[in-house]
Amino acid sequence: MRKATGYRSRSVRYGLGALAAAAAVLVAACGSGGSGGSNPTTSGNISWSFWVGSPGEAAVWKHNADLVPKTYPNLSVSLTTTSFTNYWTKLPIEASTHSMSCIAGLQYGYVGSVGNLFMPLNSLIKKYNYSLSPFESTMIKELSSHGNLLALPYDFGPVVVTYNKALFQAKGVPDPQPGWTWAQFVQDAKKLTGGGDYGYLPVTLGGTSLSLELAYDLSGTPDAYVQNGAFNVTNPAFVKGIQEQAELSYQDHVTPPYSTAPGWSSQEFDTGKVGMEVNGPWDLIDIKGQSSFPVGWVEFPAGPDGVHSYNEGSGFGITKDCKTPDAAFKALTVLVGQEALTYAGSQGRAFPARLAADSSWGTFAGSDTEAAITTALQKAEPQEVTTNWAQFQTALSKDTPLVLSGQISAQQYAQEVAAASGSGSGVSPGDLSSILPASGG
Amino acid sequence: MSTESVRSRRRVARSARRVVLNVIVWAAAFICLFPFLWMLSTALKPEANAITSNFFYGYHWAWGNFRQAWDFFPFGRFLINSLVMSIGDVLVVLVASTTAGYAFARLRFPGRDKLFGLYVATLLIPASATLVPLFLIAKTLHIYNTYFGLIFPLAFTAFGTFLMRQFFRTTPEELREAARLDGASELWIFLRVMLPLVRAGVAVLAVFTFIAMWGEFLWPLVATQNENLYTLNLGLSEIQGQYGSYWSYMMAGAAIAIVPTVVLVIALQKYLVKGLAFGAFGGR
Amino acid sequence: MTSRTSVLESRSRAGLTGRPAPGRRPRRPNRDTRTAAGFLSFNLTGFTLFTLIPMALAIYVSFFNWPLQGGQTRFVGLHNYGSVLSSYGFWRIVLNVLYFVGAYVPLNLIVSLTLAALLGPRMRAVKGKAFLRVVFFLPVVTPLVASSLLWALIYNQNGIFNTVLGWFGLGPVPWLSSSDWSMPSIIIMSVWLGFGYNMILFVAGMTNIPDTMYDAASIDGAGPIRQFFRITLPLLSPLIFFGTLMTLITSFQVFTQAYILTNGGPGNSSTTLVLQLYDDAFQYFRLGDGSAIAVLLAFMILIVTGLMFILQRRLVHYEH
Repeated sequence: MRKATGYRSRSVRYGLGALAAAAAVLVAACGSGGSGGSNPTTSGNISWSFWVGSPGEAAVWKHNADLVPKTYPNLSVSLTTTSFTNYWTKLPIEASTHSMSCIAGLQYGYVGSVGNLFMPLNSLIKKYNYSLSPFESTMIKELSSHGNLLALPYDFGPVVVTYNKALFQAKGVPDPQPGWTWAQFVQDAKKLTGGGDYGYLPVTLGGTSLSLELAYDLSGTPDAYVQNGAFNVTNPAFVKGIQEQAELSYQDHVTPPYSTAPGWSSQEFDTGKVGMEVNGPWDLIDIKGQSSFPVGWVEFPAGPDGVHSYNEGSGFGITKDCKTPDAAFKALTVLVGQEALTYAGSQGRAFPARLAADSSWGTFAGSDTEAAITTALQKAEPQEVTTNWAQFQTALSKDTPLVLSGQISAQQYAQEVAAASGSGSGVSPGDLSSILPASGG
Repeated sequence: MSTESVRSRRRVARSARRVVLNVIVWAAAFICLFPFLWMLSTALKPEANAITSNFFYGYHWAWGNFRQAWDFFPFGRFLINSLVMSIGDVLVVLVASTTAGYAFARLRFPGRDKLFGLYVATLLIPASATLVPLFLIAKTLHIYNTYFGLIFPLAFTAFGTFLMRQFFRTTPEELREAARLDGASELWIFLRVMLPLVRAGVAVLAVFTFIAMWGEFLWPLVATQNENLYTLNLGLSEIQGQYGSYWSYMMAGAAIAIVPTVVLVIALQKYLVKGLAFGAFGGR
Repeated sequence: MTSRTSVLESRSRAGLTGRPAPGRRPRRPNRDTRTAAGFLSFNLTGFTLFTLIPMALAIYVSFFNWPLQGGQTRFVGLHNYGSVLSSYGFWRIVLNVLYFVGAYVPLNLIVSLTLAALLGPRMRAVKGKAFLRVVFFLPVVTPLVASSLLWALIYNQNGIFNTVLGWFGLGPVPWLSSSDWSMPSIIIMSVWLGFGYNMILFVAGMTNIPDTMYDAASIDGAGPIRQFFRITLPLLSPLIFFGTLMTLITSFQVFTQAYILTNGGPGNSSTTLVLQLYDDAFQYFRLGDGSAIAVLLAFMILIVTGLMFILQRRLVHYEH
């Protein structure tokens, strides 16, 4: 039995100290509350959240954010970045807790699934007499839903094939030319494969799933995942589009073994081991930054119905959590302004949606590439998106390796994707005549 | 056979045994350490795509990678957040568990054992089962995306109470009686008499809790959206997405995150075994 | 001790104890209620708010179609359970978890027990034990995400494992890109990660075994191996039971390694229940489905824990 004396002072110190510390933590936590809400009521700072895939990209956007105070001295923009995949998980969670940034990125694909989180810009456009004529008109439509423009576009571009010129040369394969066919594509891929090198990267756009763009090209059916306005992937056109791609892996063996390791897909191409991949002009910055070989760009090989690809792009919008929409709109106009987009183009991060700024990308990319993109643009069309796009994209990538290895058939794959994506419907831009310049605006 | 040769044979057997055991243990230690060394060697590689098999040799050590990783990501912030969360949780857990453990062990009140039974029952439900509801509750209470929301929801499992009750049950009951007869208040008895007796338990609980909170990933992932609140674990997972294939920067980042824990373990290694020894036998 | 306490109590009740403090009556037992309320208030509030209510809420939410944002919540009864149980791949996921648990727990125990024996207090043959204990404990306290990134590098198609295998002429193993290897990769990494915890636990337990037992056995002619199996293991069995139980419960909930290394892929060959729970709730925005999985997982763990306690009666040797 120990005596209480002698421990008195120490135990008091420990005990009260612990209580005091706990209280301090409580007070600090309650008081500071982290930096929870990102929408202060002062018009000074506008929060902006966006996705990046490399430090180079982040630098481009930070540069553009700093352009805002130059035009509007009482405004500043603070940028938060995250990876592309995490961005679409974060946004709905932020929405459910009312903590979204004021300005947020919106990719055309997600207009249907997170479009309801963005404020329609129609009234702000009219209020400030903002002209949409400098922008590429299909992008305006792709970022709209039910007659509401949800974001101002910053880039667009056709989805094309990028290829490793050095590898082509090393294997004695002539560069692909516009007008080439799918059969030629497969042949090229086979010739490129061997000695540790592969012909084609089976997952698209630095992501983890098969290409919907190629699915269009190979099936000849646009938007094969929407039938009569409803989301539907278990149809022959979609299955065919998937199967032809998967065959490159399990039948022709021209693709590297699939890996779930982080950064695998861009690494495979950038280290020169894979001859061709599906990509778009927004990735020029990363390709140039991480590869050391000359890169060629060419439109898709022709499928049964000719050459078909999608024109894809993204924009910035104002979220419904923003408490200072006017200030945000002003900042927005700078972020998609001539100077900002020219800069983004000159760094290879974006093929500007502002047509007058397009040349900046071309200058950075080189005239060959610019010509290739311009040609490809003629064969690229807007893509219809669905309301369950986020689930659809997640589902597409989950089972990709199984269909690539032949473990499941394309039909089964379609069924899996259908089950995981839930139901959805097609999204239409609606009537934009009130803000589009064409109708006398 | 002479005793001499038997003895020397035994001696040989003994040293052979010693060699074998040491080899096994040190080989295991090398296997354990190797991934860390590999991480360090990759972090120092100059090429962005650093998937080569060189182990510290054959390339110029790019110490600049650490600078790059540190600049691009707010590691200082991440570290502070991890510390705030871990230490905050330790404090809350200690306060909550010692007070409740004492009450269940030494105070008499109606329904005490039934209430404690409820506590024990919840021990069997896994933490992941409450992930979604905690998210909803944090949202409702508006503590989502705050330090409060990071710390408090995890600090009230029955484990700490259970552990402290075990320790308090080993304290002599008549001590409290005697102190009460002396006219001491309950709080005085608790703070100056009881708590010191269970210091070992407090230490064990503190260490367990800190380690558990330091490695916590799922709750911060769900409970915070603001980069300013990201813990080390969360910050690193962001690196994975935003650094793409820059393995050397990623490893530099991981190395930065691991340094504090290495320091911690080295500093606390004396208490590790001792503390766990007490905890293992509930202070008996 | 009990008898002494009650003597004191009865004596104090009768007012016959030594020096009654001036002006204070000895308190009766049921007066503790107010004190108890005071001591329990902090814990009970937090416990109700952050443990009890969430558990009830988990079951509640599982009966609803509850989208993360937008849309209305709708009562659907057992529909979520039906759709979760019949979803393609759910049973594969359950198998994944059982595979993980069935491989990881024994491996963890074997490694930690062996190394604990080698680092035990009586093992004089091994030098530098303090250093070694730190080394083995390091992976335990490393932030889980950092370790996972580290192992992603090691498991890379062109990473160090495959390079070393190549030196021996063995083909590259698709550690993270094949359905067959994804789970074993996670298991191996998890053993590296977790064995140190149990090891330290067992070493601590060994320090409590009195030397006299071993001395007596030596005199009887028992060698070190026999001593280990006849003395150490049985005396350590309550601790081994505790360690196994904790390891079991946490391994059923494995998430972070799978999330970082493979994100459950390829396909769902390395998807665990908690990973699926997270995906359903936060990627597919179906909170109701996520909760249904949570409840099912809780049941599974309850059953296994129950089995463990039954085994305990047979295998664990308690000292009396």
